[in-house]
Amino acid sequence: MALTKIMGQNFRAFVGGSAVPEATNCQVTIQGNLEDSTTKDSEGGWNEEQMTSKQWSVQVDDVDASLATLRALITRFNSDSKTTVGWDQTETTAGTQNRTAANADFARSGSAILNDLSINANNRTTIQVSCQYQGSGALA
Amino acid sequence: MNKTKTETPAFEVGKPIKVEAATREEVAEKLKALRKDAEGMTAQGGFIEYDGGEKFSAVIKFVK
Repeated sequence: MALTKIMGQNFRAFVGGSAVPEATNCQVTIQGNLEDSTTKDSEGGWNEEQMTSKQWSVQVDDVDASLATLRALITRFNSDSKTTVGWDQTETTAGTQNRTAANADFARSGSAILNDLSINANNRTTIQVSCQYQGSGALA
Repeated sequence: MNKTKTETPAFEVGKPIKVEAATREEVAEKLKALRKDAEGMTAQGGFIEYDGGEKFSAVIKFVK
């Protein structure tokens, strides 16, 4: 039986309940921080690890580079406020701009802070805006 | 006794519907039921948000 694969265009980041418009890429990172718990009792010469904390973030590249979006992102960055961020599979249905959440099993969300905003402005091209949301609290 | 099937949908077309529950799965089930009721219409939104506390919610809208 062939495995069902998810296409990149159907894996989208959602901020404040809506799919981030016009983005070309998103990256989700979920990371556990480990502590070496190896003791003299450990056998076989292998390290033993235990999870001490977890963190997650969502990065979105080439978001809609309109004046309104840029203004909103800078305002959000300056406010230090948390917003709901997550990801889901989307449905490729006509008239929805591929932004309708499919409620996939792997979809998750949580509160996050916009902690990284980068603007790349090359001569004679539309600016490229990327941002990263660092999760604050549980991902569920 | 014969039961008359109601013709009134559980939502207004084009109006956002907010769904809330204690778990992601419960919200997904409620959304699934709404989608079934709205068969033939186009769904918009529907992302399940976690508020960091004890509540999951989603806002979905159906358009023709």
